[in-house]
Amino acid sequence: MRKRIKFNKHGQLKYIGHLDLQRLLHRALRKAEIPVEYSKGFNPHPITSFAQPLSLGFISEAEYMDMTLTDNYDNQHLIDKMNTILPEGLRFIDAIDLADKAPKAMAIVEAARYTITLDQDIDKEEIQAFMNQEEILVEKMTKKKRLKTIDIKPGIYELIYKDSTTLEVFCSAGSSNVKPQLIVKALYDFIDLIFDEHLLKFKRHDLYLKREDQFIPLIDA
Amino acid sequence: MRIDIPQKILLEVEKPARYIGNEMNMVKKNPEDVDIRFAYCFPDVYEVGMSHIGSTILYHFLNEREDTYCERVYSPWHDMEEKMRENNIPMYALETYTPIKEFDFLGFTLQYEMSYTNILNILDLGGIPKYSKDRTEEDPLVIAGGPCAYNPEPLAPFVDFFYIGEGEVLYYEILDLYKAIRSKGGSKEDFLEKVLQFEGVYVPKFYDVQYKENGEIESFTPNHPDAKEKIKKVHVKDVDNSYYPTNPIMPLIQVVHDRAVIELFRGCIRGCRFCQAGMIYRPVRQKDPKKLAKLADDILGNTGYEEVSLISLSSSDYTDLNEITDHLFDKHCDVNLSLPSLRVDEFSLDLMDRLSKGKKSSLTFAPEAGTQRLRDVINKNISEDDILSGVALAFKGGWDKVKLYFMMGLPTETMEDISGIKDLAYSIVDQYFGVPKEERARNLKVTVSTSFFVPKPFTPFQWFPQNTYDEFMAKQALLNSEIRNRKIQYNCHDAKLSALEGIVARGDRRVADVIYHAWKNGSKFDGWSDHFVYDKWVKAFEECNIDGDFYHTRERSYDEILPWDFINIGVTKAFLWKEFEKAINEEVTPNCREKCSNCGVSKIDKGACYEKEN
Ligand code: SF4
Repeated sequence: MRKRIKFNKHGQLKYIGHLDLQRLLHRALRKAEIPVEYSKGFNPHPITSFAQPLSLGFISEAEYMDMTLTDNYDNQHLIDKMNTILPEGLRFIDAIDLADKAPKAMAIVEAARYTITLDQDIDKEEIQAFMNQEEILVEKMTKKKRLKTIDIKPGIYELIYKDSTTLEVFCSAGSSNVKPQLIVKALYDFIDLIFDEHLLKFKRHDLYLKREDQFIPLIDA
Repeated sequence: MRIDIPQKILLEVEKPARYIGNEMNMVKKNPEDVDIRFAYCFPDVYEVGMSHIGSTILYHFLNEREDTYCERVYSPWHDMEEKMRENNIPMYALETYTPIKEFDFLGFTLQYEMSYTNILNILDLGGIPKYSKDRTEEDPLVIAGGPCAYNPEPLAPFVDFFYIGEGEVLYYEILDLYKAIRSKGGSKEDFLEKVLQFEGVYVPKFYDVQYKENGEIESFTPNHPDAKEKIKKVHVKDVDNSYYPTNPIMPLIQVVHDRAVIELFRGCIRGCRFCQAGMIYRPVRQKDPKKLAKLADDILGNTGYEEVSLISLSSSDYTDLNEITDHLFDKHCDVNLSLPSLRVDEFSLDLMDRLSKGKKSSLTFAPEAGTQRLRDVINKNISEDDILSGVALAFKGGWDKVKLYFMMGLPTETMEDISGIKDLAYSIVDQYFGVPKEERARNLKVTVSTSFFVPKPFTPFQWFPQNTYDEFMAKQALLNSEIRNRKIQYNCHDAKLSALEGIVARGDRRVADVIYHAWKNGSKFDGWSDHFVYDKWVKAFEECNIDGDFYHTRERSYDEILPWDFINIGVTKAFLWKEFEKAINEEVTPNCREKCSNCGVSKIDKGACYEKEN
């Protein structure tokens, strides 16, 4: 039986990376005696797959993990049990059953929404001017460690001014992922501010798939 | 006060999870609700400290007390230290982010001498005076225990009191005493005087040392009426019913040993003459296999670890190894089991095969010396035949990687013994080619590792001069030039580090100032060979006008008062000396199960040779 879990990641837990998070969840699943399907081989581990790794330093309201159980298991019971085990900063929020053939979360994620807290004040007009550009060119490191110039404008669906230090961004995720750090960097360059990624605060709100031109949170799949 | 560490700092240091606590199974208490705050300090980086089983035991043991909150402190790595200093962030404990200065106790565990500068660094980062005499009522009591506390003298001026022995025995009584005295408004001084009533507690300031002109100790005498002449180690007598945590903390990041750990027994029956652990942890105390099985079930259930390790100084000596491993194989077949320090024979090869589920890891042998003569000197009872028949069996069984550990600079060692290391490695290669091609695996790799012998207190070799740096290097060079086989890889250690370790290990109170100066000169993480800078220490010796050779390359006489002579580990000095003489005469001593050699420990407890009686 396949399940998709929605969980959050808060507080100090933002300082652990994706592999550490994975190991932690695997151990918690084992401790909770959730009947997860295990990989075969010398080091069996629960087979899980994650929608999209979260950058170090980000908090999140909605992370997604798919897994297969070998037995029936009540969703609410699973959530409650895991929440007695997980450390502060990690909580299971929701779980749904997936059809056997449903594609993995990783394969369907198309967009993400973030709130960004800036370290400097900006104006609404600056945001507008920034978004009015024909194209927004940034330099990005390719997998082969080469710098490449790309236009991220098509990947920024919305950039909303909340207040002078708070932005909300809705952007492309998944295979054509646009990192929110890149967007702020481009914005800072545009208005000539000094950019230091580590002074910003990022929170992921949700991850979305696209169905009939509608963006739907992964948990509503 | 709760320290707040800015995000910018944590995102800029390597592995920020070292500094955040909040792991699964971390003990949470409200500091307002406890009477005693205890900071357990491991003076090395988080991943090393979190892998140490003794620390796990003590942490949970102290937290069993409702009136006490024990928190953890590890050395910040260089990058974090720099940022802490730049931003005036004091050293804090991981559970509540409380500055360590606010604690009642700072308890350091002394696992290796080369961590001593890190102790001073932690105190410094905590804004706490390094020397005890400079600390006030506002500062915590600084205490220390662990294997290196058996020679406490090099740290004497920094530590308020040492705990000699196993933690489970006395800590509750000490904390009760502290609470009683504090509740009556007593001072630290009152407490230190009262704590003298306990066995195993050494308060350095209540002792005076006089030196002879030649630098040896003239006298070592108590200066307080309640200070005991001899400090007797304390040890757990009933290991089956002593405390063992079943809910250990699970680190958020990968640490050195990231798995459930269960102790098979304490002590060792073997009596290798270089081994300090084998002497200070006598007598051997085996745990009941049924209790261990239950412990393993509980720990695995409470943690979700995918691996369990059964540890001890020599696992093959556990008499019920079959029973416990069968239980684990049956009941936890999806969990990986590891069993370090097994001897290699038919039984254990079979076990290893099951352990590794068919994946052949490398075989490990620790002959320690290259010739039988020298192995007799050190009482390492493993013969060339044991090794060669072991590898032959293993090669036929499909293993093709062998690791061999040796020491250089052992008492009476000659260049022939060094060549013996090469000969043994070559014989192993021959064994491999002696196995028909179809039966053996394809890629033989023999790794020879040598370290330099460091004579340790409370061993038969405590009187022995350590090799000089030049001698070490000559031996290393010889072996390096002799090993000419592409199947054999030779690794060696840093001789300077070993020399320094030797000085500190057998140091007295005068060495304390050298440690202080070395720290002032910027030494820290000295145990990490890539961070160790010898010159900082050389300068420290010069600044203190202390001759390292006095501690390092000098032979002691039987009559000399050794700095740690006032500690009674149960094993007598006379026994150690007899063993030293037997070493020189190349005579071996049987292990404790074969025959009791009257080491003296039976006066404080029953040893392995009495096992049959119960
Ligand atoms: S008293 Fe005998 S059996 Fe016990 S530790 Fe000493 S030598 Fe071994």
